[in-house]
Amino acid sequence: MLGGLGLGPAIDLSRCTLAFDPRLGPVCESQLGPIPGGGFVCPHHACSVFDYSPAVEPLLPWAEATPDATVP
Amino acid sequence: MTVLLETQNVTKIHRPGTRAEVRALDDVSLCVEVGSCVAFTGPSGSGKTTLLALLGALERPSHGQVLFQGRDLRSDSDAELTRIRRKMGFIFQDFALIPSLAVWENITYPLIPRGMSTVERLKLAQSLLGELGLPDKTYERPYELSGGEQQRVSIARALAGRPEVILADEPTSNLDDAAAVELIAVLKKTHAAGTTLILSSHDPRVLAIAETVHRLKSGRLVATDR
Amino acid sequence: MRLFLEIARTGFAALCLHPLRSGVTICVVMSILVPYLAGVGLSHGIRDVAEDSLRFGADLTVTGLRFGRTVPIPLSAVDAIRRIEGVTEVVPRIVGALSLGKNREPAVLVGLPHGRLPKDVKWVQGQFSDSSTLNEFVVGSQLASRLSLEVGSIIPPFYRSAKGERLSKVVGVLAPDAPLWQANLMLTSLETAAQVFDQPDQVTCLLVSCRAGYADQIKTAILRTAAPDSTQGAIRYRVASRRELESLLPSGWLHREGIFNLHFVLGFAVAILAVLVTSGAGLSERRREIGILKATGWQTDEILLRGLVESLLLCCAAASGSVVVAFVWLKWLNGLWIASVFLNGVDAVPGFEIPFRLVPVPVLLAFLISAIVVLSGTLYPTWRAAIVPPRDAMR
Repeated sequence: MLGGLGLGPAIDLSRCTLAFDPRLGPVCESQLGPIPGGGFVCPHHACSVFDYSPAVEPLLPWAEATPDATVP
Repeated sequence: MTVLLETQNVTKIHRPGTRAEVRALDDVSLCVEVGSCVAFTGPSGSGKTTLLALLGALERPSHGQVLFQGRDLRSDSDAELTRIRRKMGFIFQDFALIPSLAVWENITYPLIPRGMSTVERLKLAQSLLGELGLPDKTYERPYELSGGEQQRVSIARALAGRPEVILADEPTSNLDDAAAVELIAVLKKTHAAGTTLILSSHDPRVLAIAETVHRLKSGRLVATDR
Repeated sequence: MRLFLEIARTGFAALCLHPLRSGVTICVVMSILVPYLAGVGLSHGIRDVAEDSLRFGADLTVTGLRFGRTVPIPLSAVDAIRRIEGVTEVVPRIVGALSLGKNREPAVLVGLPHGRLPKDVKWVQGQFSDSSTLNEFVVGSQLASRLSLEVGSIIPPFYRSAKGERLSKVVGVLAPDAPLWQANLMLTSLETAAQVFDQPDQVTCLLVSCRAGYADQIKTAILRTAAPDSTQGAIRYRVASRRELESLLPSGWLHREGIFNLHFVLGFAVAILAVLVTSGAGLSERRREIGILKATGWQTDEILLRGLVESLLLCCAAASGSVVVAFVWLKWLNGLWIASVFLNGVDAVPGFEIPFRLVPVPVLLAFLISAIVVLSGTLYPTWRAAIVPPRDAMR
């Protein structure tokens, strides 16, 4: 009915988008900050019995286009 | 006469090598003949109970030998000692009944590993309780009985396995006069039927039924009266 | 064999002879197994709901990406993607978070184009009208319960918008037996959602349906483009395909990560200690009983068999009891309190039917765990007492 919604063990987005549906937020926002360069485990989806790792690796278009490219 | 049980220079040390080391028995040698009635007497702490435990294969001596029907028990395995204990009946000073079991079960529990069925065990218990004057106590729990009744249950358990020897530790110490007299009568009857009796007691009435009385003091055998 | 059974029967009798000790042991084991089974049962239920969501969802879900973070997509992107070969349908959707009421109740606002709104779905009580001048919402069961909303309720303006605010009307309430994620949902039209968030001509995601076999090709094609009308730098796309999410689902279901397992391991260790202490509390009584048995002619292996039967019966009773309690808790008590431990945002008394499924493997595992806990807690002390001389055990 809604094009598919809700894959995770949460019932709203206010906790963790990834825990609600990894299609909407494929990476847990908490894992990107707040410390620059540092990791941060999301307190919300970590306690669940149904725990997602990052859903889809963000893939840059040029990487898709040139999968065998090497950096000089 | 044939020797049933024998001790040769038996010594028992409790908690050896510690500050609390106790020499409970010291170089005791004696023998018990088949069909005899032997008693040990002496003050508290003289080693009577320890000697009875060694003769009953309930523990092993620190030094010396205990022989049952000529067989040295020192080298016997735990399972062998248990098989020997099946030929013995024990009457403990504190009765050693299992409080959660009914009287008939207490009497015949030792017979379960010997393959006796529940029905046979119940019949045997009822028969023994009848002989010992407790026919209506079959299904009661030990804590519902008086001291004398508990001791009679303890005797019934000792008799249930048709033992070659009965070892009784201070059998009258927890009983009133009337119960003690009854118990002594049962012991006499058992002895008259050919069972060897080994008793430990201070009670002159118990000592009176013994053919041999060994006197112990501080773990040593100091005298033997025949 | 008869002898074996007779001794085994005494093990059963021993269980009944010490009701307090048996009861405490069973309770300790159940206290770790019930949350474990409930947690795993819930995770299986969520997986089922997630699988349904995937099955009925779009082939591709497209979101915007800027600085590696999710951003809205201009509505004009719909036409660009629709032109890609193999695409059969592109549905723009708004999924946003907001909070309502004095207590700032969290809600998920979903906006879909008018033609996509459900007219008569069995788990919606009420329906949208085509001619209302009010904002119309269908609300989730838990949200309706928290905010005391029902069909026909009028909600005063709860948002700020450049186009001005309007009253909102609750035209439907999602039934409690609908999937769990409806609990805090507010369903409305795309226009209303854009107005509530004050983001005209923007959507959060695009739901792309493809012809069979075209999904990968279309995904590549979408990734090679950028949002056409970005005036502040390009908005790149992120595309989640159904197949990728299907492969993700099992790893999400495997409850190996997070602190759940840590808690469980801690609970397991505490249970073994608790059973040891329980056994220790009755140890002198048990030692004396074993001493009496040995003195009166029971062999060590016969005593161990009796203890083993007693322990196995205890562990079976504890594990079976745990399965029953977990089922009752999840089915008839609807996961009262425990659902809020394992599911984010759920009340202690869930306002919807929680999903769960008890499957054989965790149940068998529960029996194994129970056996480990009980055997280590009861059979070990029995063995210790059985190998000492009877006189020492009777002291």
